[in-house]
Amino acid sequence: MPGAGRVIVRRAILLTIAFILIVILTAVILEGTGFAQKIYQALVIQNVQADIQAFIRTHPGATPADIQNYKNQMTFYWEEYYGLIDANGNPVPPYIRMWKLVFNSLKFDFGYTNQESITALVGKLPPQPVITVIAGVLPRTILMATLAEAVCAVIALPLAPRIAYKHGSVWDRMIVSYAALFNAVPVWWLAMILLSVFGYTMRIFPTNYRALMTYINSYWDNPLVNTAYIAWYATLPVITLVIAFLSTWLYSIRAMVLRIVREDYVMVAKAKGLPEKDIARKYIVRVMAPPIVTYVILALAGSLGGLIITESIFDWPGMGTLTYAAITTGDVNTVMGVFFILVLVYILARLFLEILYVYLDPRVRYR
Amino acid sequence: MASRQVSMSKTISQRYIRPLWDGLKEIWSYGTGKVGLILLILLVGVSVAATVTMPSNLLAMWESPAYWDENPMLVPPEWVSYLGQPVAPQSVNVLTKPVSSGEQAGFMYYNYTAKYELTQPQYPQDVTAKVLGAAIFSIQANNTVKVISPTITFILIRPDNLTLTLTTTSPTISNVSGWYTRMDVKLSLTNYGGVGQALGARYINETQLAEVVGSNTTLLSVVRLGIMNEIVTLMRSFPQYYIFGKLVINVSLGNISSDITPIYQQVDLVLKSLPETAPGANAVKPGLSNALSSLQAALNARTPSGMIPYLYSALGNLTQAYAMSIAYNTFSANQSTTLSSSVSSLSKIISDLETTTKYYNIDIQTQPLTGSYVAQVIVSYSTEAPLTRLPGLPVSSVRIIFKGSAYGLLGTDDIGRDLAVILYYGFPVAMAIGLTAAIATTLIGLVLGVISGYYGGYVDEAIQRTVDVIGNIPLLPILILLGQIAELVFVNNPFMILMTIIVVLIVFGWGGLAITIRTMTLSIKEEPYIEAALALGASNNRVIMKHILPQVAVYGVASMVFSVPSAILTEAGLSVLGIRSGYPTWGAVLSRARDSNRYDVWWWIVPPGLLISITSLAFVLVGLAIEKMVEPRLRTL
Repeated sequence: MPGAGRVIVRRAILLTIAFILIVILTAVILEGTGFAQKIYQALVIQNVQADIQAFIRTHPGATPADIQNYKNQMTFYWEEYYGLIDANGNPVPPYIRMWKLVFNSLKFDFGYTNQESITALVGKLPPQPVITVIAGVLPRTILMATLAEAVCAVIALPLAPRIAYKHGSVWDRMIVSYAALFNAVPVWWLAMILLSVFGYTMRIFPTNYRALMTYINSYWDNPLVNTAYIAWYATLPVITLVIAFLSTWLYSIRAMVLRIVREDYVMVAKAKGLPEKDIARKYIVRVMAPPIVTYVILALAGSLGGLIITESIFDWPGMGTLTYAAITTGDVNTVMGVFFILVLVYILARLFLEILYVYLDPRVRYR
Repeated sequence: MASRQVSMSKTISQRYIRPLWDGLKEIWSYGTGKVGLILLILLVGVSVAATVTMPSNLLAMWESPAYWDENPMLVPPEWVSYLGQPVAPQSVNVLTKPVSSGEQAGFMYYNYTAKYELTQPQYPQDVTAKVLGAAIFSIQANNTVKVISPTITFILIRPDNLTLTLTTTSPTISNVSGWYTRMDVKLSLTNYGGVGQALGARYINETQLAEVVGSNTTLLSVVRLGIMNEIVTLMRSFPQYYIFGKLVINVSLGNISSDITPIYQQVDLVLKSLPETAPGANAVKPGLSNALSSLQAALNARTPSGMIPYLYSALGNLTQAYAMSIAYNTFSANQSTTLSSSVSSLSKIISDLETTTKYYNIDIQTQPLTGSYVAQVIVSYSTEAPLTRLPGLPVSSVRIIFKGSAYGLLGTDDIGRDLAVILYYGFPVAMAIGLTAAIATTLIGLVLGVISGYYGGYVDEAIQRTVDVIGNIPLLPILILLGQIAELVFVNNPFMILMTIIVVLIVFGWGGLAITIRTMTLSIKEEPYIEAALALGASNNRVIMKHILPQVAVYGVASMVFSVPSAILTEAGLSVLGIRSGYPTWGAVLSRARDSNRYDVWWWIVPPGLLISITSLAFVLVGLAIEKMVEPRLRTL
């Protein structure tokens, strides 16, 4: 099947181009808008001030000239540290920093983060390699968002087709109403309400989820107890997300099934009197597989980015919180690293789907 | 030919109004559509009303605590009284004329009075007053300029006939331009000491006090003072419990014997270890044993008043014995120190008893005092002031405000903002955000999708690759990033910050629709009638406008309706995260609740979220109905 191979290679190339463009676009937004510049300048001023304070404390007899001298020295140091100037003191224009950022990222070199609020997410002091921070935080998002999506998949995949078969029944109507309702309710608001009821009022679940880190970091000291604690912490967020996401899952898969069940050829098969089992196996599942697999895989891949707003409500130390902390503290390296990894995973998932389609969908093979 | 000419209005009616009306009728025919449309009409109605009545200074008003200072802070809605929760009502009294005025002892008095009925057992949050436009005079007397300012007294007369002077103030300005000027004065409780004293005098139970303390007047007055001080301390944290409360004061004796017993034991030990042969033993011994018996008597006494004489006697005996022992050098250094420390401990106990309430447990409970209250603002001027020369009264108006324990339809937030008002003005903002983003996204997606599908080639490729980029980039982080940048760039320009968010939503939002429309266009393009139209010489534009757009437009409408809620939800979500434009959106209200970490304040969290949800729901329901229209396979058979 040479056609399929060509299709895959073509898509691979196109997705790679899109990927590189996204990396460049991100770099442009970070550096080209002057955002990073502003943040860096603020950081330089802040650090220099802290240094001068320390200098005055350790050198009680310092003259104003000494302090000014020290200030110039530290300003130079920090400006060079943040890449605002080169070793000779010449300013580095944003577009050069931008390309540096792009090339370093494409070499998987994300550099270090110097923000305490970011390294605190993995319980360490700055500086830390960005990749270490992401690797430390990712499992927690998998524990919350990806787990929730997986639970949804496990519930929706067997349930939704059954509902679709009983189209128009009370169950079907209830599911559609539920889907409409939770399409409209913001997940993070649901999180606020559930946290308020079960966390603050009834005190069944914790209210501060940052503490989860302790149990994950020291997991092997006492695996049994820590597993119990982690489960206790994860329950409310996962329930919240499942309540919110299951609506979309059920509705989308139901709609996919409905579209196929009502195709003419299925009707014909039914009219011919083929056994229901055969119709389901040969005419429905086969056709349904590609869109549903796409839905499942993209949902799982997308969940790795975490849910920034919901994580912030729970103060869940995951990818969303990391992304938010990185953006608000203007940590360009971390922002770039997070974007890079997320987009890469998503694009790889799409590529994987393209390859999978060759096996699932004969039309691709013979195109 | 003239008969075939169709009038303009008829064309419009046939082309646009008719299909729209039919479409609406069809949406109405579905259950979801009916509910959705009703909700939508309500939303539009409220939004229009809010837009028409929106004050022009809404933004400034929303951010200014001074605007809301007459409202109680963080109180639930008034209707909680129907849920069985006692409520103290809000009452704002605007008085432009004094109830009475008159001259007395060289002063001219203007008396402004407001009544307040408290029927349910609940504390009002506060009572405050504002004296607006109080005149301050500057008169020439004996070649010197003299500034005459009023003395303003704020009094609360309670149902128990207690009169509390909440504050007395004499506002003044150093330079009065002209012979008089007017200024505003805010009055609230400052006279904690006076109020505490009045409350103490009324509510201290003298019989109980005498039972506990005894008859010693010094001790009694010390305890009374201590109770009043305690009231003042408590009142500083929760003034409303005391201004509007009746007090139950309970005084009991603390553990005084645990301080006396060690002294007794020490003295006893010293006495027992004193050998008969020690120098001066005969002189020291009686003093010590007298002191011991006095201490025992003090321990047996029931009240501090009863203890005091015995303690004094013990102290006298002990001091004398100590002096003797020093003179005769009776004791070892250790014993001497013990004895001297006993003397100082004992005198400490006596002075504590006579000056502090250390040995009493004072327990003060309050209960709401129901009944009718009268608040008075008395403005008095020295008769030297040229009051008669003034145009009008020396005070423009007085506002006396009893802050309720509940407020309005939806309660208030942490700076007293009326949440009902703020949420009401949130309607048009939410609708504007949702509709702007949705319409623009849909138009771009529709146009680019049709172009991409119809023309193909490089244009198609370029559009598809762009969709690849914008479709794979994580939208929310980009929004936060650009929102953050907008906050840096457009400081104090809420409109531009909001526009940035909307533009980002549009720029990254059209991809999905464009791809769907492209696929549809590709299949429509192959239809024979398109070929026929082209063969007849129709231009590309005409084919697109006449044959393709109308067919794909329905999908566009469905997608538009679905993307309204996502824009509203995204903006609200960004607000909650802290990327705020500055508009009083529902998200901004929620974000303030979140910032102050008050998840327990349900009237602050539930209503804005419900409004966001209901608005989204209206569009989702209409969208579901439209989806059924364009996708018949989803219909219920």
